[in-house]
Amino acid sequence: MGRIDSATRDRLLSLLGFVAIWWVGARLTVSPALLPGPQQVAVFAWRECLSGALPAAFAATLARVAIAFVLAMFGGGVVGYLAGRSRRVNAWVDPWVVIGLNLPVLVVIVLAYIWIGLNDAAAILAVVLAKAPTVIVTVREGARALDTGLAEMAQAFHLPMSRRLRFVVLPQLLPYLAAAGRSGLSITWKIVLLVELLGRPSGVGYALNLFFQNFNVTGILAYGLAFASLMLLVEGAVLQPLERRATAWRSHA
Amino acid sequence: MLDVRIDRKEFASDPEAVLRGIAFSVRRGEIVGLLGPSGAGKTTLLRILLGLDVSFSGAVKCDFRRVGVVFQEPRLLPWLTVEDNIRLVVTSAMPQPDIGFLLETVQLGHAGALRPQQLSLGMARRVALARALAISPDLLVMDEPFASLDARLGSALAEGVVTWARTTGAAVVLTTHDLSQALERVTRLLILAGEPTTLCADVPVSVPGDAALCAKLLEGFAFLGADSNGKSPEQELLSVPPSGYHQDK
Repeated sequence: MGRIDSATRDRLLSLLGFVAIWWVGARLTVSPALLPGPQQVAVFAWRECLSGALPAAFAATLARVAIAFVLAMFGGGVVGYLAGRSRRVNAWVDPWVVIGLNLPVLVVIVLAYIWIGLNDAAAILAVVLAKAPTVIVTVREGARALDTGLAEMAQAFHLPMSRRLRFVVLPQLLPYLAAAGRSGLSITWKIVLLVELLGRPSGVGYALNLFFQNFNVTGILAYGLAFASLMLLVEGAVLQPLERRATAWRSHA
Repeated sequence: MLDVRIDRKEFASDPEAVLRGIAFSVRRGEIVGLLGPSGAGKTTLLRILLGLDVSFSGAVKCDFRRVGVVFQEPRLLPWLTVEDNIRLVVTSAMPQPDIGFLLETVQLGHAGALRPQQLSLGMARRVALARALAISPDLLVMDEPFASLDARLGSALAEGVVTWARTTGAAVVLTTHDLSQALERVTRLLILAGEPTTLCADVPVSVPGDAALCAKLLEGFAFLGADSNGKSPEQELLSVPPSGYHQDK
């Protein structure tokens, strides 16, 4: 078995410390309904898993997160790239981005539900509109920092547009896309929970709303922490390795 | 054929013209050297004829189908290997090159799997030359191609390019500071000087390395004010390597 490095050991100890403080806090609380202990929450989550309620809620939320994430990253990435390359496009886009960044997410969600209706299209659109401005800003910075020498090389050799994008532009934008993706995922799933809480009949947000109405803190903690753990797992197991792979060439310097 | 006519070129930051009244043509089989002091606008002129700078009054007409370019800086993609950097510029419509042979030609047969960060500046420049040759160009445009290479290697590569151009009938346009080396290789020398820079002379070079012509041109260079910054014409003809790569050992 391989040895655990000191950073991983410290992380695990820190996590154990969190669980220990939670456990002590639960023991000291007057009513277990206010703050159930870790064991109680774990048992509840396990039962919800076995009943199929938790996987169904996760599946509904994950689908919304995935669709909204891809749309926000793609749309925001394209607009951000164009805004970074053209002053004119940026002049058109920038005021919208500023409004988007400063408009409360809650307002966007409520307006989407009022104007489009209480459906998934409105829910996903609200998440995309709330997330895309940060992607645009990040990718715009990346597009502004593109190496003009390499762009001229591609132009001088008349490289086809697909090759320019794939081999010249995209590798330079990847660190920015990765940064937007990592921050984007954490923001996206939190917005999705809010969207579900306000107007969807399925998903983790909907379940949290039900638990809130029933004053079921165990359920809130079980669903909330389990979904947060899943998102951390996706980030650690998918996004971070992708980012490392995309920037592996730097290690040859 | 390449037809270049630049009536006037100025930069947005400076209303004074940098280039004025420059007109020349390049035909197949010609090896044309652009000679001028530092800051004369040789690179600007190359950018114009490559279509990278279109903010000038005049016209450039290029009938050559494939144009290979060697920039002053190697401009290799650091995330691709040397081989992939060369392969990148070759499209399916072009004759497919033997990349191993090209790398052997520039004496880098062992470097195909390396990345640009692992190369010295001189090696990276040779990769840039191999990349330009990979598309089997009808016109090869080179900006100070043999600067930062040691004299023996620079001379061997220059000789290789000349042989390649004679064999294929391709045209070559190159900028250089080194008059004596230029005279060894080129079939025509375009001399750029003055403020703003103009085309002062279009000299056919019939005898390679013509010493008498070299002396005459050096004299003319001094007369044209090429040493206005205090350097002698010979000093002015020295090249300065760009930064960003390992130094040659």
